[in-house]
Amino acid sequence: MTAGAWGLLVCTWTVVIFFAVRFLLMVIRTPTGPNDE
Amino acid sequence: MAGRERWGTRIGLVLAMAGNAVGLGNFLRFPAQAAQNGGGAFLIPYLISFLLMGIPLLWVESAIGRHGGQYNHHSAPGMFDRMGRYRWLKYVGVFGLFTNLTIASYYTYIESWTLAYVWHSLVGTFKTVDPRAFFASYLGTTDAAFYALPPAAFLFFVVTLALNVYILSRGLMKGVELTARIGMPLLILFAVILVVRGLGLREGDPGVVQSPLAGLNFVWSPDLSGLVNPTTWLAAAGQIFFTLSVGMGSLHCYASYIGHKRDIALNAATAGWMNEFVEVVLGGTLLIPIATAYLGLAAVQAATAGGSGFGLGFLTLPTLFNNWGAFAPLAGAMWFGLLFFAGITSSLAMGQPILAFLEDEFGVERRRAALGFGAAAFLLGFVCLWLYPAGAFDEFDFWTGTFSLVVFALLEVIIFGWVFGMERGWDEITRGADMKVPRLFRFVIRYVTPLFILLVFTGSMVQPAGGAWGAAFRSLFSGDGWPLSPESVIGRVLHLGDASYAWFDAAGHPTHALVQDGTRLLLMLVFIGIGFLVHLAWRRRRALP
Repeated sequence: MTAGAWGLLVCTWTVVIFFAVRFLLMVIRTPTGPNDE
Repeated sequence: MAGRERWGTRIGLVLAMAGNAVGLGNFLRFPAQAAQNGGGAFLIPYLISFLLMGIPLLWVESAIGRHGGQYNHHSAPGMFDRMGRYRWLKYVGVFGLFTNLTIASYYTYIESWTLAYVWHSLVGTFKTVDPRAFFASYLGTTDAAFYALPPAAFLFFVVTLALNVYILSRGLMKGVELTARIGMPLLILFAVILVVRGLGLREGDPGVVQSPLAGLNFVWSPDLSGLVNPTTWLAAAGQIFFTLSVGMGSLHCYASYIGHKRDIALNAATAGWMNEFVEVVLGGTLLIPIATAYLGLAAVQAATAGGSGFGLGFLTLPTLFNNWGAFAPLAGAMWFGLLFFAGITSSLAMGQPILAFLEDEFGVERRRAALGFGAAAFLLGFVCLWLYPAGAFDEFDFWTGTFSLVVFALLEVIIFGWVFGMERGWDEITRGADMKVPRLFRFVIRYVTPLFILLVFTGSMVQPAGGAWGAAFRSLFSGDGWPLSPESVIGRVLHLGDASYAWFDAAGHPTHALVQDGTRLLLMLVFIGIGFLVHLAWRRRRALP
């Protein structure tokens, strides 16, 4: 793989994994049910 | 009544929302689209489209859904009726039932193929039978075929649809949510195992002709020329539409079961980014690298020429897995199993709004409503199955799975920002939010997203031949007219790709053009029929004391 391809892959994966994990952790840490009053 | 339905847990809700978004396209369409549209150049417009169109639409649809849920409306007509004083608003919601019902009818048919392929992978069919010959025989497609009633395909279709109906009849928490809680982790596990195994292939392994990294390089090589190409932007924005399952009415329905003061912003964002993880990280690293390792890059480029990875996924991969020895049946079962889980979590999301409409507006009991959905999906799906060789399936896919989504999304975002109003809309999105929603999105939702979708819509209407926009404008300004692509919406309506357009051939036999027009008429009748049901429901509502 070329350096450019590695660069793009690493940058995109980092952004996607960062937000997916960050938001998922936020959901898990605030477990208030969707119907809780 | 649907009002008694509720989500059990928050993680279950998020997995169901993510399951709605994650579908077969994440593994089959995305890698092929990326490869065909400049690899790296595709990803930048793709991510920009996700931020400017995908995320805003996820929030808008969740907000419309939760707002409608307060009034005990869990399907689009009632939700839109509550967004303003205009009586026509409820008829915009017809799209939210039409797209779900019609897509579910052919989508469950594809889903049934994946189930059949799991079975045939496990029993080792593809060790002795060429998947190409198997596929044609399974669907009853031969050169001369016009109709087909293939018994195995019919049986698996009925079984898959029955499974969907059964799960839906169990209710939101015990049916849809439970399936998502089982299906989504298994899908990710299967994909990770296949990615690790695929990237671990080395030149010198049995059957391997090239490093899988060559395939990865093909997808991820930056090519900035695509950034100024409207075709690349159209493809990227289109992929965001399909992958997030926006413009359908299913996300609205899921959100309508969330409490009035509970978060929707974080739930929707999490589902969206989870979908991106499955698509970009797993989907982008599975099909093309494995196929490249065994077929070589040139063959993979040729196989994805139409922007679909369908051929590689169903016709080629089962043979390639044979190189994996004793692991081959399991690898095949995992590949088609993950496609099945991706499919069923989406088709359940399509069925739920139909059930909710029948329950809310006509007081139909849940199990009967599930059977009603199953019967309607069966009748429409049967048309796709029976007339598959003549092209009915492709017509369903284009008009309901592509065109309708864009129209509905455009209408809903305009109604949200301009009829419902951005003040109320912003309050709806941010009420109870467990994340800080950047205020910039207020502007984005009101102006940028509608404009973005309008450009996608216009682009798809008048897409020029060969995607050559520069040449098309030069042709227009030099007085030679606009060279429409037969694949554009107008080109399809006018049958531009069919030089000998006629409903019957010289011998008096029906042609594919007759089936195309007949299918379009059927879809229009379904749309009108749903509109009439909405009319009846509101007349019934007015007559209630």
